[in-house]
Amino acid sequence: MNLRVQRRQMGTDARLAAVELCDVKFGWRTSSAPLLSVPEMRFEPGEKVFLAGPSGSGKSTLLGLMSGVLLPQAGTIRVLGKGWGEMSASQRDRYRADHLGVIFQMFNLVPYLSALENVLLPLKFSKLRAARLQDPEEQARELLGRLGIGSDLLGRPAGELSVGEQQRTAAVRALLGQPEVLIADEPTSALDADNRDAFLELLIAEVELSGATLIFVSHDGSLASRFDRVVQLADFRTVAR
Amino acid sequence: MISLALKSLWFRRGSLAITVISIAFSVALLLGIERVRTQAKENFAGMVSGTDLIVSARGNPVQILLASIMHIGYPASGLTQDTVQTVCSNRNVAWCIPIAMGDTHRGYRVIGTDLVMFDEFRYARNVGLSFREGRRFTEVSSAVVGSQVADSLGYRVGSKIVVTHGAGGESLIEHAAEPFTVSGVLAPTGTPVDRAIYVSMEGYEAMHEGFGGHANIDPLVDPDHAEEKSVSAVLVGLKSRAAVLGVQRSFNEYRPEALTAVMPGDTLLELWQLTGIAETALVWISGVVVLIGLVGITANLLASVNERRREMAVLRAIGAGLPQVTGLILGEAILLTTVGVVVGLVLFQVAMFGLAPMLRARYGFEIAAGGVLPGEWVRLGWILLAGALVGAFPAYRTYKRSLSDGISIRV
Repeated sequence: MNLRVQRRQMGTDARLAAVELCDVKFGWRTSSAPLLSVPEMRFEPGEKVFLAGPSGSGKSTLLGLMSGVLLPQAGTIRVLGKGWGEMSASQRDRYRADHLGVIFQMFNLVPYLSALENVLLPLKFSKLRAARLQDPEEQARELLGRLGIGSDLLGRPAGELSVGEQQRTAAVRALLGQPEVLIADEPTSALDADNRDAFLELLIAEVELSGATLIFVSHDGSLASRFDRVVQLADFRTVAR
Repeated sequence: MISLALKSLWFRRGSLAITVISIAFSVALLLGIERVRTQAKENFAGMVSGTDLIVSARGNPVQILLASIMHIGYPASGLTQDTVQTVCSNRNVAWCIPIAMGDTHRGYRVIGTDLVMFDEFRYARNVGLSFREGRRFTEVSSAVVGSQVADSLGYRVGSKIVVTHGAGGESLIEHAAEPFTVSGVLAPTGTPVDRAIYVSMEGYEAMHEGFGGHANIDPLVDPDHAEEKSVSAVLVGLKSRAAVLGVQRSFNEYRPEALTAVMPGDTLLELWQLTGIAETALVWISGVVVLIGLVGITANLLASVNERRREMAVLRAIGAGLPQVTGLILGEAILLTTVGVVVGLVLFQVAMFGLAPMLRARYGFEIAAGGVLPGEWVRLGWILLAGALVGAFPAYRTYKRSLSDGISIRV
């Protein structure tokens, strides 16, 4: 019911966007000119988008906005039809836990938790994602196994894993419980070429399997060919840093 | 979230243990200093209790108190027998203890007094004198010694004492002809009583009479009335405390001889004020000690906040709210302080139980070892509150940073 109303409001496109930005302006200080200005940006469900941009192009800010941790000075950002601005801070936290998976460049894992505990951590914040899994631990093990984290590594503190293993564990954490949107912030830049290709391969395979929208940020243009679409971030930056 | 916090604490247990230990030590030190301070005051004020007035020849109240109770210096002059009679027979007076002083034995005061002393003298919280060994003096030539005198000079019941005239060392005239025999040793009191030798008034006078020729060198007592004026002061207990002001006035206005009646409690407090600087210094020291402990917590928390910046951003991205992330830091500060306070309290108790017997034996300093006094609970409460406040700073920093970091981590 609620979804239909929102779909009508969105007008032209009948399909509900996974993430949608409309007339978004963001600056750290309200007085100065906005750092980032995005008239329109849309990510369709199941789409795999490559967000290209050199460092300093406002990537981090954009990801903060899309994940509802930062709020824009103007404009709206909707995830699955629901605007971040409509929610209270705690609702945003819940909504983010329910619908978003995030992979960082590095230091993705909480160092004092084991790989398995790290993977299961989002389920503590999201009942919705936990409910989608019949046996979370079993499914986490299975997914970890598919991404090459053997059962011998599961009990180890995350800090003891190699960088490649950490990134794959982070991918499993982001995927578990099938959040609709997966945001990956330079997840391969800390990996060597072999690991990078293998990681991307596995990530894309899993995303296709779960049907999630993948927003993949990277400055490494050579990876772009694996994606449905490329968005140049530089187009949206208004002020040079 | 709680289990996450506990795992995080366990992960950093090494540096956290050091923080807790530093808080514990400052708490233990604070409590220790405070305990010693309050107990010192109590001990001081408890040097004499139950005595309503000290009557002596006209003089400075502090000096009279110093001489009659603390055995420091001498009263300006003695009292005549008539005066002592009048004081003791006042209708409001329940009991009176005459005190004669002027002689020493190997550095310890020899005090002539009455058997009433063993019945009525009170110290601390209304504690009477009791004997560790032997009994009261029953003969003119017997003496009762304080515990410290007995310990340091090795006296037991039956030991002989030779008295020197004057307060000095061995050089002065010895009343060699009149040795006293120890009839009893008093139990330790933690007061000047421990350092005194008590003989009967008759014995005290006999010592002088037996050595009649020497009276003219006594600089403290009118030579012509040496025997007559041997009483230096009278400790007086009243039937009713309420009468104390009236009785004090009547003694102060006593005609035949100029007297000063001193209320020992008030004068003791007055004297204690003199040590006020030391007391204030102790209070400051204990305050600074706690401050250092708290600065330690803050430093440790701030360092850990920096260390955990990425962790916080990860938690935020996964769905942890700002209140949760901030609460993690604040909770940690409170937990660390609490554990520190508890450990400090245990440390303090152990130290007190360990030190109390030594303090009592060596300095006659009574210290209540067990339990926590009401004032100390209040202090502990303040420390906990300060811990929470101190935690608020790093927590706020985490909050601000989480806002600006968003979910991305700036390396």
